[in-house]
Amino acid sequence: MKTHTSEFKKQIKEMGRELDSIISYSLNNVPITISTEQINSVTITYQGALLKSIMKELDIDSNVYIPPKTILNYKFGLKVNGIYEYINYGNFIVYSVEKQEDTNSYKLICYDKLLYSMIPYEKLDITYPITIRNYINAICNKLGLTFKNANSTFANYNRQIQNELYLDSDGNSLDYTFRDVLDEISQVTASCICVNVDDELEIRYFNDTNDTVNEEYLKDINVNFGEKYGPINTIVLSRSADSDNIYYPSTLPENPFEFKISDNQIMNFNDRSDYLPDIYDKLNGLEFYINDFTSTGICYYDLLDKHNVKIGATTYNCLMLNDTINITQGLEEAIYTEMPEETETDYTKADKTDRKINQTYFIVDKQNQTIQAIVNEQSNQSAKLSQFEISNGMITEQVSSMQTTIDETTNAVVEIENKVTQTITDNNAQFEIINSTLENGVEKLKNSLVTIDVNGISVQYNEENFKALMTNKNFVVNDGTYEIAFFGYDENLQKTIARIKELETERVTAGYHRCEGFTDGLEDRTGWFYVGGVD
Amino acid sequence: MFIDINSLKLNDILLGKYIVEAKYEYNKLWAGDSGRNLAGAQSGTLVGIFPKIIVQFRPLTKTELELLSPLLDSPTQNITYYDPVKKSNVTMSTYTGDWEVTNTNIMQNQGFSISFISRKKRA
Repeated sequence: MKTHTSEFKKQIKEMGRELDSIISYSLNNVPITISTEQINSVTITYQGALLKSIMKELDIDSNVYIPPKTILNYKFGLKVNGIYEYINYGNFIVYSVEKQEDTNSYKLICYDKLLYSMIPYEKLDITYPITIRNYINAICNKLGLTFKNANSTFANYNRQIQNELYLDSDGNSLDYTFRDVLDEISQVTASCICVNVDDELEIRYFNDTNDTVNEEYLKDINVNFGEKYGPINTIVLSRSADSDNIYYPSTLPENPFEFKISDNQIMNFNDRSDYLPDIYDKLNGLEFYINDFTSTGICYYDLLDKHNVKIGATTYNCLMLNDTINITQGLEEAIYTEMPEETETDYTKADKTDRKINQTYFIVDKQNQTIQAIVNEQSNQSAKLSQFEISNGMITEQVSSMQTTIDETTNAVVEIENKVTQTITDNNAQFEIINSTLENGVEKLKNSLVTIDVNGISVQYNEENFKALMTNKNFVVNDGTYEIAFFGYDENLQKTIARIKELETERVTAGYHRCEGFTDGLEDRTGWFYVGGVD
Repeated sequence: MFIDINSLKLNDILLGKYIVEAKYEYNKLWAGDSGRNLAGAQSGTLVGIFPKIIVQFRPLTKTELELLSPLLDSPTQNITYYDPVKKSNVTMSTYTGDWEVTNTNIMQNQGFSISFISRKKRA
């Protein structure tokens, strides 16, 4: 809650309250203060959601021109017992100024210093691995902000980021901004990240104010309360388009009400289950009523304040996520909290952790531009692996099995592997089978490789021992380095021929065919001759 | 409050000798948020108290009218009056409403009234 007195809370709802606004800034090192004489209206607003970074906006209609990039401070005043009590809303940066010729005034749009994070993410001056807390500190140093929690503990503050996640392996942009990164850190820390009135970047958690406002603080129109959200009792971490989920706690509640975090780059690896307990600790039990109401003005609630609204005999517990305070001659405040996106995980297909003997996971690695799907099953004697990987310019599929066996001849423990691999690039496709057997204690590998490219289809057995190549003109079989057979059009002879070296004759029932040598002009050749007759 | 002949002044001119009546209004200006809240109670923001002084001039001579009319016609004036809330003389910047003088014969004016309305709320 913003600092205020009990008299403030009492007076703000009273008939005849008197308001004031003060804007102070510095121009050319000269401090300037303007008040309601020069200010026509002020609107303070923020729009947030669970586990996101949230930036405040200040819109001013002023008779005084204030240049862009000026940093100004806004205070809202209420006359209490004859003197004004002010609430400090903090500092804002003038983002844009527009002259309104019809009213001869200036419309200023200002944001708090989270605006500094709305720039492309750049390499930080850090070494990996680095803790979450130090990483945030490095971001703050880069942005020119002070980190309020630099020396305090918060959820997952000491987890380590192993390497750069928001630039590719060459250090090029992946189109993240620092604001995007802060959003991900909000999820990791189970908090909302914001800038406070002292211009510090803050890891903010829910604040139980135990404060209640009643009908006297509400207008008699637009007062809506919906269903209750929560209580949250399950946390789900999801990656790869919600296809790969883990959950916490390990024993699911009878009626799980989950909060799902999807595709967080920091919590994207097989240690992601380590982040869950801290996140669960912060979110477990969170519940609030969906609401949308217009108030006559409360003004002292802050982001993530949990408070109550009592109407008649009904008390609604609410959470501040969205707030708009409009100050003109009068005061009006619109508060609303929307239903967070509801998700429902199929827990039969999810698990508690990725670190198991049998693994099934799907990883999107933006840094190395790969997508990997793995199913891995292991036992004492065998291991099976099915793997599918997409990288830039290549798709690879592989199914392999490894078996541990005892060779009967030598009694030695031997591992033999069978593997099938299919690889597709932009100019060829390959299909390879490796088969491993034991013969007299020695592992024998047989390898077949089929390659398809613009030159044709080639089949290779045990690498160079046997190779066949079929093109659109001919079919050639090689054994080692020399030709065994040729069928088709011979470019050298410019003829369509069949050529088989060292071919043995074969008996056929319709007569005899005999292979004999003959001379065709000056060339010695071999041909098949039908002798005919009956055997 | 008209506490003595000199307690009402228009700019530097003491009005006491020219007027037969002065009505002091202390008007409240409410903001647009005024109305009943969900509890049915009337609530709202008081912008401020804007004093308004309506003076009734006696029939003025030509010379007196020539002295006063430029001030009555000017867009703003300064009115000093005794304010019982402040318990002291208060000077406020005012604007006036329309005014008119009726002549019943040559050089014979009737009295007339005019309002002096504070531009700003009373401090």
